[in-house]
Formats: sequence, C-alpha cells, structure tokens
Amino acid sequence: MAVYKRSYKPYEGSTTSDRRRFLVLTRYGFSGLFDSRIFTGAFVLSFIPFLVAVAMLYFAHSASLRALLQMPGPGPNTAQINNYFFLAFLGAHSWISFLLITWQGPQLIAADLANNALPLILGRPISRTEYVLGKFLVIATLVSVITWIPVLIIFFLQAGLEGNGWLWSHLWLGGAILLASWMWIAIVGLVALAASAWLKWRVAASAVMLAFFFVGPAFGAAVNLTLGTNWGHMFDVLYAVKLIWVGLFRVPLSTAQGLDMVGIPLWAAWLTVAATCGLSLLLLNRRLKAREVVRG
Amino acid sequence: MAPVIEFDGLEVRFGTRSVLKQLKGELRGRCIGLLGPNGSGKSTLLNTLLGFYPPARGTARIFGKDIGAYSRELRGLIGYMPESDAFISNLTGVRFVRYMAELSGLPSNQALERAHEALFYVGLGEVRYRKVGTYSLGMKQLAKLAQAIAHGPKLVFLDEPTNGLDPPARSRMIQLIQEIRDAGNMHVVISSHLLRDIDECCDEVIILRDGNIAAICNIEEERRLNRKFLELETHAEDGEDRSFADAVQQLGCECALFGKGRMKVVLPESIEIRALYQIAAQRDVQIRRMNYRRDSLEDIFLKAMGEVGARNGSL
Repeated sequence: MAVYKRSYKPYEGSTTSDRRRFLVLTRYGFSGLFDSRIFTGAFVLSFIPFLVAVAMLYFAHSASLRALLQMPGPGPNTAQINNYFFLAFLGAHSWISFLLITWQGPQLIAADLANNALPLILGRPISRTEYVLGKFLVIATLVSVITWIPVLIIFFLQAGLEGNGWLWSHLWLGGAILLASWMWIAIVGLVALAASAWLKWRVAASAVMLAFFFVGPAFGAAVNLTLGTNWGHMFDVLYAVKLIWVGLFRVPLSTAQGLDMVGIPLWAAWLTVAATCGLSLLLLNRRLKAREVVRG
Repeated sequence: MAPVIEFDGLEVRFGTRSVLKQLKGELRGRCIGLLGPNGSGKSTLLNTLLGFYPPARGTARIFGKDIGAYSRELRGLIGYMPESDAFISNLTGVRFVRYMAELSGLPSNQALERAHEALFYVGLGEVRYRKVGTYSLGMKQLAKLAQAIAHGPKLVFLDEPTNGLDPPARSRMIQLIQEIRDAGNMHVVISSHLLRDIDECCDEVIILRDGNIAAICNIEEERRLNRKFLELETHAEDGEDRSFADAVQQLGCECALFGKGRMKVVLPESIEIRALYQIAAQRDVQIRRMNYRRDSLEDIFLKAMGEVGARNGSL
C-alpha cells in the first residue's frame, strides 16, 4: 500500500480540456449505472432481439439453411426484410430502452440532489448546460447502443446480403432509423432528467416517468371521449411518436388507418414531441440551480 | 500584497430584497474571516463570488479578475466547502474526491493520486474506501474539506467549517485550516458566526451586518495598534470609586467606569502601576483585581456592530 505523507502540496500539473470536461459527468454517470449487476444483466439481455433479428436475416438469405430445415421458400426476399421489419425492430428496442431508462435513468440527477452535491459540481468550471448535457449523454449513449446502432447494423447487413443497389434505393430508411431514434432519445432522456431533477427519490422519479407516458394516453382518451374529438391524442406522447414513426417509415395510409394512426395531423404530433422536450428543459432550468433563491 | 478580493459597489438582490448592499473594499489577507450574525449575507457573498448569484449592480474581482466576466476561470481557481451537507452518498470517499478533482480539470490519474493525498491530509486515509453516506458528521465535514483542496486551488472558501463538530473534531478542523494557511499555497476565506474560529485562523476580517460591510480590519495590525489597557475591579465606599477614577484621570490616564467598581484604564508609558496603588490607598479604595488586556476580536466585532447599528439608527 502506498504511504502518503500528511502534508499539503499545491497542484502544478496539466489540466484537461475545458470544452470536454463535461464528459467527466458522463463517465461517472455510466459507472454509477453499471454499478448495479442487475442493470448490467438487463442491458446484456436487451440485445436478444438483435440476435433474433440477425438470425432472421440470415435465414431469409440462406436458401441452404432453409433447405436443411426443410422449409422451402420462394426466394431470398420472402422473409419481408422491409420498412415494416425495421419499424417493428426499432419499436421493440425502443421499448426495452424505455424500461431500462425508467429504471435507472432517474438516479443520474437525483443522486446529486439527494445530498445537495449540486453546489459542489456547479462551483467548479462546469455550467448548468454542460451539467445537463453530460447527464443527457449517458442516456443518449445507452439508448443509442440499444436502438439505432443495432438497427443500423441490421440495415447494413441486409444491404450487404441483398446487394443489387438495395442500399441506395433504401437510403431513406437509414435516415428514418436515425431520425426516429434520436427523437426517441430526446424525449426519453429529457423526461427522465426532468423527473430526476424534481424528485430526489429515484423510485418516485421512475413512477412519475411512467405516469407521464401512461397517464397522458388515458387523459387524451378521456378528452376524445368527452369532446368527441381526436385532439386528445396530443396529450399522448407515445401516440405522437408512433404517428411520426409511421410517417418516417413510409407506412401506407391504409395500413396507418388500420392502426388508428391518423387521429391528428403530423404537425400536431411533432408539436406534442417539441412541447414535451421544451417542458422538460424548462423544468430542468428551474430546478438545476446551485442555490435556491428565496425571494421577498 | 495584491488584493485577493475587491468589492466594487457589489449589490445582490433577491426580488425586491437587497441582500448585499453596495459593498466596497479590498481584502488582502492570507486567511480572511467573514464574520457576521446569522442572515447578515455571509453565505450569499460567497455564493455570489462563486457565480451562483448574479450581482444586481456593481461587481467584485478575485485576483484582479471580474467575477462576471471570468466566472468559469475563477471557479477553476477556487475550492468550495459549503455549509450544509454536500456529498454523493453512494460514492466512496476516494471516488467522491477524485470525481470533484476531475471536474476541476485534473486528469484522471492525477485526480486519483490527489484524492488519496487530500484524504490522508485531512485524516480520512483509513476510511477512504468507505461510502461517504456512511461517514459521521465530522468525517463528512473533513471529506468536504478534502474535495475543496484536492485540485490545488489558489483560494478556498470554507462556509462554517466547524458547524456541528464536537470539540476534538473542531480543534482538528481549526488545526488543518491553520496548516493550510501557514503552508502559504492558497488563500483561505472562512465564513463563520463563531468569533473563536476566526480569531484562531484569520489575519484579516470582514464583518457584515444586514448586507453592509460593518468593518474590514487586519486583525494583526489592529492588535498591534491597540493600546494595552488595564482592567480593574475595585471595592470602595459609595462614590469613592468615582473620585478614584477622577484622580487617575488627573494623573494623565484615560479612564472609563463600567459600574460596580469596574473600570478600564489606559496607562501612559511614563506612569507606573505603583501610582494607581498610591491613589487607591489615599482614597481607601481596594484594588481587588487587575489585568492587562488588549481589544479582542469580540471587542472589534461588537464595536463594528455598534457602529453600523448607530449608522442605521437601529441601536
């Protein structure tokens, strides 16, 4: 064991880049999340759909495997690796990421607020914006690893296996995957941070997050029923997200109608998403202060 | 010595309430005491210097740099130990201090090394792998001090550092502050309402009252300038102590009576104490107690409080 002399020495070494310093918050945020073995296990398990999708892709493109399993198919494209497949795959991974973030996300800020550590952090060369950015990056990275990164891997695998210019003709699908995922990351990340900032108790913050996503639809349905309108869907963030995704993945109108995805116009869905993100940022701005000011 | 902190008409408002009012002055000490009764604006002043509250008017400078324009740079030079509990309970002591040092700009490895050093320095070496949430109150105070000095700041703000400490822990904290002061590597600002803490550590003091600067004084200089005086306790027949005081004044001494035979006498160098005994004997006055004293910080503090009170018409 090292023996340290009990004396104080000034620090004369180098310092890290001022611009990238907020990444310290991200690094410590990650290590806090993965301190929990259960969370780490759940994170690993979240890749099971990815493995299933890879297997489906291989099966769809391997005539010899189908022959071996005595499941003759009309051709390599019959397993329907199309926009519906990617939409369903992204949807499944988004739900998994939502559950993981609801479980552990709120501890990111709540842990700092629980014992008043915010003045210690903001008393250093870190701004409030950088603080939020550092914490948001934890969620953004985690959700990215679960959502768009595996979906894009599948997308490129499909492009490689399919060949014949499939990539160029489906490039829009890659854009849709990225845009849909980042919209999801923004909503889940900001709502998790806002809940975390307002409730020091992690369990309560998780409950509020769940309530936000699931009480909204109930309220929206009540508005629709009472007023005989569809505008109540604007209170349902998940509905708005689904509506935008249906548009991004070019799901035909007839199918969308079958899924009840035509309740409100697309602009209203974007407005709901923007309002959710804006409200979360407003709450974060109000709450994340080194010191509370008692006005009088 | 160049000023450590300069106030240039600094005013801080919370809504319509003025918490700090047009502060003006300079502080140059190695260890500066920020004194004042509860609610006088001590913590607000520290928080303003850290950039937590924006000045409504005026400004302040630390090491010649404006706290508004150079806020970020200055926060890198400052270590801060808040008054209230401030820690992350699920981190070990060493991880907590390392985290804070990294946020101040130290590379990861150096931050780890400095965290170990700082924790050993404050006396938490043996418990550095325990979670901070399990520390006692005294240990938490020491952990706060460790995180404030781990990154090697040029100036450290200690807000009520002895709050809630038992006497041995308080002595340990005061000793640490004195060591930091004497090492000469950093300036220290201690905010406290405990005169004894300030008296034992500081060479300069700023006294706040109701958001005003009641006094700024160099304690060492003040003590040097303070004339030594005698504190007497006498016993005499009715009115004799008054005649004794008059006689002492006629001798060329300054004398003040405080009732019940207590008086303060400033003795010029040319007059010896024997003369007082002679006068007392002539008037049949017994001198029962006689002490040499100088003005204590308490005297300076009470004088400042009285002056501001009189200025504000509240006393």
